[in-house]
Amino acid sequence: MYRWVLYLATGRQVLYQVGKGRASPVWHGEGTVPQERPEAWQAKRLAVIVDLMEEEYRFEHLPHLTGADRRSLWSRKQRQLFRGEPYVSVKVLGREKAGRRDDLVLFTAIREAGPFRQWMETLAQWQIAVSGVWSLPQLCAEWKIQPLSEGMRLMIYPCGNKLALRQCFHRNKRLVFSRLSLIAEDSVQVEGPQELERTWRYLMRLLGLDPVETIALQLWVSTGRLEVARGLSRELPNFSMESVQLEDVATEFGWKGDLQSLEIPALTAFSLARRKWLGGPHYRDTTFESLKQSRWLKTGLYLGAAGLVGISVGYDSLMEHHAIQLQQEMRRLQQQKQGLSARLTAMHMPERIADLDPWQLQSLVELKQQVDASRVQPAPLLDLLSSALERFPALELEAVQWRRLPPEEGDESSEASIVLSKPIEMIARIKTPVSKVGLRAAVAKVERFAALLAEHKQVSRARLVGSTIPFREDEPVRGEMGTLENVTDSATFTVEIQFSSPGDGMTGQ
Amino acid sequence: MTVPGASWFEMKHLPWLVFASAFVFATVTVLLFHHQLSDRQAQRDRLAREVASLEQERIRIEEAVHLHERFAPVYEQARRQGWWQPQDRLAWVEAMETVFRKVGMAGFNYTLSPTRQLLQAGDFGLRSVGIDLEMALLHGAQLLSFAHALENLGPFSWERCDIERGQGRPEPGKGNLQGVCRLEWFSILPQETPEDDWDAADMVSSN
Repeated sequence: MYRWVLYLATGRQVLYQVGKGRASPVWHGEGTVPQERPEAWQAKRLAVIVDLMEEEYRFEHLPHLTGADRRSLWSRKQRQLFRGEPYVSVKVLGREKAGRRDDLVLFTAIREAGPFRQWMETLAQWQIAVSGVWSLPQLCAEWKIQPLSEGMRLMIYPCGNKLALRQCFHRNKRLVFSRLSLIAEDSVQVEGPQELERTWRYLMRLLGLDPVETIALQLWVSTGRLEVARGLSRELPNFSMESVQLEDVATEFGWKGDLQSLEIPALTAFSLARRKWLGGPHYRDTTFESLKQSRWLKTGLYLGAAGLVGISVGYDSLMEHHAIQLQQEMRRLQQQKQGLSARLTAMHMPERIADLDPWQLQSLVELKQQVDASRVQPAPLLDLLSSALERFPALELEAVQWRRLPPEEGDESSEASIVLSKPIEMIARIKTPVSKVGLRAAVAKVERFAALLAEHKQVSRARLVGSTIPFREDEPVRGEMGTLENVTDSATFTVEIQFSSPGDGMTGQ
Repeated sequence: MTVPGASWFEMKHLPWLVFASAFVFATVTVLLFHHQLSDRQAQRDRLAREVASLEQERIRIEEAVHLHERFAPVYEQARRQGWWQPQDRLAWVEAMETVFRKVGMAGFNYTLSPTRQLLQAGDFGLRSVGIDLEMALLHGAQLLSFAHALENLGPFSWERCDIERGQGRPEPGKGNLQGVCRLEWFSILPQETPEDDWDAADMVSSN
């Protein structure tokens, strides 16, 4: 499996395909960002190594703090050093051994990062994700090969049509300063020492180096440029030089490619890509994520717009469907209305009778019928008695009376309801001779008479309730000897007849 | 940010413009269609109310026709029976003279009580005049003839009656039956204001 590493330097860019023990350059650039994505760029994700003159190192002694105070102090220091630069790295190198034991902090930043950012944006446009941005000098400082306790590591390698002098100062095996100079290859003997001296003077101020002390110089260079480096060392009396051949380092890394053309950038790309996990980058780049988010946002907006249009069209269709249904219903109702109107035109309200509408007529007639049904007429009552008496010729009607039964105690109904709702009770006084038939036969006859009346469908009860003959068990019997003949000549009976309901059809209707 | 090869998709403001346009389009069309539907619903409801009103009118007329057909004959018949007119006391007095002679009763007294309202049903009131009768009858058929003759005056109800045969043998031209009865003379009239009860306080009696 291959990994891709883009080497971005001032004036030179190389895309490496790393794998099978080598880092193969597949594309070279000369500084400007390509307008179109080159065909060689197959990478979907790559790591970026920056090797820029604009990368600045600031080694600071800061009071040892923790938590929010520490973050606040560092943030303030970062703003103080680099203002609003987007690519800034902060690394704690340790603490002072004595005194206030301040924190030793290395701030690095890519100054004036316009061209670098343009590269990041282009990569994002090409849909290439950036795993992270690593600094070449910081990567090299992390190598465990040929560690430098204190001194200058000088790396010489080609960069376009010039030579790159990367000077990295280490203290306590940690990188505290780095600087890149580009010089022409034919003037390296002149400009090289000048650049080193400039750095040395700067470091004397920055780190308090002793001017008379000799500085260890570790020279990293390929075999092809070993002679150039030796010529340079002769011009540097304050440095004690030690050479490290790049081929040896590469061999230790497991480099299996061509050693003749091996240079620092390729080796750095190889060392980065051969890591199992790339680990934390020196600079974070969010251009790709921002662009990705921007794309998601745009996609979301387009989809949202499409969704809105779709939903509105769907809703509108539903509304239209309902509207069509309503239209049909309205048409049906309109037809129904026309039919009803025509029918009503043909219909006429009946003429009023005595200024009464039909409903008043109904209530009037119903009231009349209610009263009429309760009216009592003498003819039906007397006919009932007459027809019964015809069956019993021996019975003679002496008196008859009828009345509507009085209301019960506490009945609070209206007078009309009392008058009209109570049943009729009739009392008939009947006389019959008993001398020939005997007392018992006379009583039996009257009882049969009462039973005959009771058979009438409108009679609820008819019974013998009284007599001059002592036939009831609860009545006292008095008598005087010698008077029986007068008593038994004829007897009078009282028959009570009760009708089942008011009027009981005893009306003249 | 200027990016080579940027398509319309990458334009900064276009997505927002498209979204805003879609939002406006969706809002406007939804409101328009919703308004249109509401308008039609209102029209439909109005039409439905009109139809319901017409249907109600049809039912009302049909019911009126039905009620008229059913009750008008009964009303007419009752009118001839005197149900819908106030109790005419003068007519009673005049009629009693005629009836007394025609029936040939041996004796006859009556007392008419003031008119009173027994019942109120809707716009109508059931009014009644109580009549107490004392009759001396030659025979029982005279009672029936008298009752029959009364029906020409109006609706009566013989609420109470006590008829007793006289002692001794019946004699021609003499009252052999004594009858004491209480009658109610009904009429149903529209509900009257209190001033209309002017004649209710009058009492007519005859010996």
